[in-house]
Amino acid sequence: MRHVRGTIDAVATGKVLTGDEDARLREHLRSCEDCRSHYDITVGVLRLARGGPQAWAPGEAQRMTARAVALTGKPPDRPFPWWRLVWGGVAVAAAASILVLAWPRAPIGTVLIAGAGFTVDGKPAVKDQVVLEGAVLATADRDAAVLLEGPRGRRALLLRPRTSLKATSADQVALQSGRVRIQLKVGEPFTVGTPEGAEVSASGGVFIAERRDQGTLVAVHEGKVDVRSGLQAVTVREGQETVVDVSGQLAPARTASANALVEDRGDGSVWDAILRFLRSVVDAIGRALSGE
Amino acid sequence: MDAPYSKQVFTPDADFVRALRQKDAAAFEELVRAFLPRVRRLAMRCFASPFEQEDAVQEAFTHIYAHLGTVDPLRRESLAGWVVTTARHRILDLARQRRPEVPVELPEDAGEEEPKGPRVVASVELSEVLARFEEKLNPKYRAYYRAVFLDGRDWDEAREALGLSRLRAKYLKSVLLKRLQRHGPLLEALGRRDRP
Repeated sequence: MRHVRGTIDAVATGKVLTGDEDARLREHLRSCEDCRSHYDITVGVLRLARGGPQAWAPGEAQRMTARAVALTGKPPDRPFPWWRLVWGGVAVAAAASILVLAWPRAPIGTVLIAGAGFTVDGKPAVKDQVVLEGAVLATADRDAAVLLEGPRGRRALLLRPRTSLKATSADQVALQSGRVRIQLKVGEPFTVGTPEGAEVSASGGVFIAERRDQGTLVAVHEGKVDVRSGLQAVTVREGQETVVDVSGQLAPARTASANALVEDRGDGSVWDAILRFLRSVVDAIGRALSGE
Repeated sequence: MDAPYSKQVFTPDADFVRALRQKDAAAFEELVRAFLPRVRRLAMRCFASPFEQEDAVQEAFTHIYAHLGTVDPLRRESLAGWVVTTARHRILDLARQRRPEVPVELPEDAGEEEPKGPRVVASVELSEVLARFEEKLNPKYRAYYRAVFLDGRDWDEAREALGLSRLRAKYLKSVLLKRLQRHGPLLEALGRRDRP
């Protein structure tokens, strides 16, 4: 049986119980010899300290009066618990924090391809899983692809192995590590933030952003992108690349290296690009023959 | 000889009695405050355990509350007698139910108090025990101890009088209670050697 000595001591030192609490305490005391003895000794010594066994222990009269008056259904008089305002404020602040943290996040996209080890917010993700605003997407040894959809358009992102990025919104991601390929329709703006603080903006086309030891590489497959870092700005056109170094300095646009323009499929090798090209040719012939 | 303390302070009027008959909460509270000391003394005559005393007091007031409708507003002078008699009968019933083998009697004047009121004067022996207890107390605790146990203030009244924070008062209450619960001479005076 669970003893209630703590409650007895609290009551003896002035704690006011509610009617239900008091009824439960007295019910327990009726059935628990040990606690009843503790209660009797506690009230007994308090009475003696007040001058004798006939004296009122401190708070005793209030306790007995409150219990009798509770018969009328009137709640016991309690001093206003000002300290509760403080704790109430803390509770409200905590609740607000929880509300902010747990506020339902807007869905901004879905997972198209989930390779082994792909996670969203640290949890394993599967195909067609909804991606929420602010989600952190991370791949392990395999690729993953997501489709971000918002009022301003649909964007396909291909995350290469060991890539991590935060999908701030349907229109913006922040690259943390690895390499991502972004495919946009014309007139649908999108921005990629780099760890150095630069912003890569495009309104159509295909480009990649890759985090490297010396900075972030930006290479354009189709269309053009604007890269801004501080007061510097560089426009990178199709077939060109630039690098934002770790100090945020922008290199001038230059012809992209072969590696930067490799199609981001499979393991990223040139053979992958050739296979993809041949597949696209076969697909185009098939569509032409079917009249599409 | 002066009238007993509770009779001096309780003079019901017709409105009060009517409110009682309607089981008005404020009126009943006033009745409880006025008669609690007498009902408690009746309970102390029948029960040694403070818990049983409180239980008996509660039972007595429960019985009184249930029968407030029988109070005659035209005989308000008899209200005090009715309250005490009802409480005495109920407490006697309880005592006989719990210990049927022990004969219990409560004379008519049981529960009357000394004319000087409810103040209790400690015996010489107990006074010495309490004085030694206070001597052993840390000087930082003495002011609160004196306010609660010598000046007769309630826990919170003493806190306010001394300007203590709630946290400090909570600590002092805890310390004083533990010391009192473990003070051997006080437990001996209580007639118990088993410590809580």
